[in-house]
Amino acid sequence: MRALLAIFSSQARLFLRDRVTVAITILLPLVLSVFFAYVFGPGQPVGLRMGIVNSDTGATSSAIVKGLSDQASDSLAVTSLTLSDVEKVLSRGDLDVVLVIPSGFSDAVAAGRTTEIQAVTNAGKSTNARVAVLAAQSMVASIMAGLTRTPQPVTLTHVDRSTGPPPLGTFYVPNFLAVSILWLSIFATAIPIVKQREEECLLRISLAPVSKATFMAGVTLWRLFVGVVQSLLFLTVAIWILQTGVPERWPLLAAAILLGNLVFTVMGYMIAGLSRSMSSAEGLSQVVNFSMLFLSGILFPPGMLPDVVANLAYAMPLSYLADTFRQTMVNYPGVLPLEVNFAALAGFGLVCTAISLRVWRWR
Amino acid sequence: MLSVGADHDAPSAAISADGVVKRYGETTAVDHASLSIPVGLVFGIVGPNSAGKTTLIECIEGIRTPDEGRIAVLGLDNIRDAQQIKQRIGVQLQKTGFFPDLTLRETLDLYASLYRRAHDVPDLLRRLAIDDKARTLVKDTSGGIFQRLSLAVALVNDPDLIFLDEPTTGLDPQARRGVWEIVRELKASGRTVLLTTHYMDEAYQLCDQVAIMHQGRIIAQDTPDELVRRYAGKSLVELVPPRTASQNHFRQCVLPTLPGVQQHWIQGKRLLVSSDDPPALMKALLELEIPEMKMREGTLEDVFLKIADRGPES
Repeated sequence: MRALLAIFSSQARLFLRDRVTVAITILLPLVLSVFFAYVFGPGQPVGLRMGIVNSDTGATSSAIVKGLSDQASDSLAVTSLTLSDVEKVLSRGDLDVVLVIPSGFSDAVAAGRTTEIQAVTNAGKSTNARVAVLAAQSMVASIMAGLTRTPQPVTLTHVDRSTGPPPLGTFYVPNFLAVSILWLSIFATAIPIVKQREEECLLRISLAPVSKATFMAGVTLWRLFVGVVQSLLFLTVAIWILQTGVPERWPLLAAAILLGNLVFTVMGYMIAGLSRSMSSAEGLSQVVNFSMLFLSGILFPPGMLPDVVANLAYAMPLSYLADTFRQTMVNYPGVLPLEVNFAALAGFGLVCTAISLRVWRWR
Repeated sequence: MLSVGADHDAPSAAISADGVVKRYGETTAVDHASLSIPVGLVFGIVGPNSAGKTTLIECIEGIRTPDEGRIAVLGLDNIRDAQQIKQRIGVQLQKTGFFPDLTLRETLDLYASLYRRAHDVPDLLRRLAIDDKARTLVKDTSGGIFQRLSLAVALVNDPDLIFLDEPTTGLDPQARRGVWEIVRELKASGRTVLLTTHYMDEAYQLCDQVAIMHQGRIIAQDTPDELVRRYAGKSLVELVPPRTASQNHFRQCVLPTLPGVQQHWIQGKRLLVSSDDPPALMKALLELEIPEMKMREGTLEDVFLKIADRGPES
């Protein structure tokens, strides 16, 4: 324990005395998140345009149409149309999404059979298509839950409908919290470890009776501490500037913060272990950094990316972390259920830990 | 004094290495080296550059794993019992690094926290004469201070066995004497010290025994005096060969006919002749009108230079 605390406090001193690292890992993501939140802030809601085609004549489908229509506001337009108009309006980019309720839908629900509502989009004509689908999924799930009083297999059940679809500004604050954890992994873990290894500091530590597990635990403990402080800063920004209110699901958010920091710190060890020198560490870090930034749906809402590229997001741990932060911090519609995100992060963490322990080198 | 007393349960040999081999690709850095270093001795390993000294020491310290051979440190297997050994040894590496943004005091505090047994850090800073630099960042220290910090870290756990790899390189003469004093104190308190050095006067002054390495092999191990006697001769005549005769002719045809000549070899521009009858040899050389010569005692440096130049067959 004494060794662990000694490593923790030495890491704290090293981190805080390296102003560039502090600036890159804490301040820069915060500044970027405020910038993006300002640019796409609460004053500029997305303004989703949703269409409904109801081919059913039953009570359930009518209730869904009514429920969606009731939620229409300045930021959500809901239009009824016929099936033959769908292709035309989508190809013109007049709507972001059209929900098609099939014939026999109400009977199927009543019989307890699996039912399907198609969400038809034209991503080439609407950059908000994916966001609109997420919002629609959430709304329909909520309406269905109200009608049947039974749990529905929907990804978002806690969206605050009273505020309407989330403004794009709230998309960026949790995303940049995830980015700050990524940068903590790269710029405050991988790069410094390789530097310390090249300067033979790690070799010197290895001559003391300290296992790599203890050393890593001491470093990780400090990274977790920084991660928590950083997250509090981001939460302050979200509550104060975006007026999101205190996250209702803060225990899940706290768990995500801890798990995310763990996973990405271990990923930092992995990058350090796989890099033979500072130059290879910098190269590998940039590959990881840019891949995560551009493919994890951090900078662009998912609907802006082609499907092929969007699917790559599933290979990025940052996607799951950011999605979890968005859901638990600002109630943004989720891409995946929270349990899937947590499981995916834990999986990435285990894989990275196994690789890190294998490739770790003191010199 | 630095220490409070050695561990009396220690085995008779602080280090026992048997047939150690370490290869890097086609190069054999250490070639079947065997050593036995009794507890309580200051033991030196000397040899020319690339002789394998540092590699052998790093194998003993557990930094490198030998390809062949067995090593026991303080009676413990250096691979199986590595963590136990680390608690009881202190290591000063030839080239090392400390976290640049920690102060000297913080660095020592960090290392002291990693061991079960540790010296009082302020006392250690005072003893190494770096207490006035305690709040200086490592990155702002001079080479000499850094070297002393490195020594302080090696001693922070009050070790039974201390490895010092060129401990005085880069130090001024006064600081060197300070390190020598510490080594003597360690010996007086029953500690074992294994050191490498390029300063032969240092090895002669400090070491009870010295091993000479050449091309990965230990070619001799004895007291400094015995090594000097065996390889250089207790008495040496150092001379510049006469200009009239070629050096080869002088060495091959003239020298063997002179009285008291045992061995002779070239060291730089001078010819060294070991002699069991220096006055007779001097007299004979004077008759040959050798322009420049002097008689002196053989030193460990003569041994080093001779082996570095000619190898173990010398």
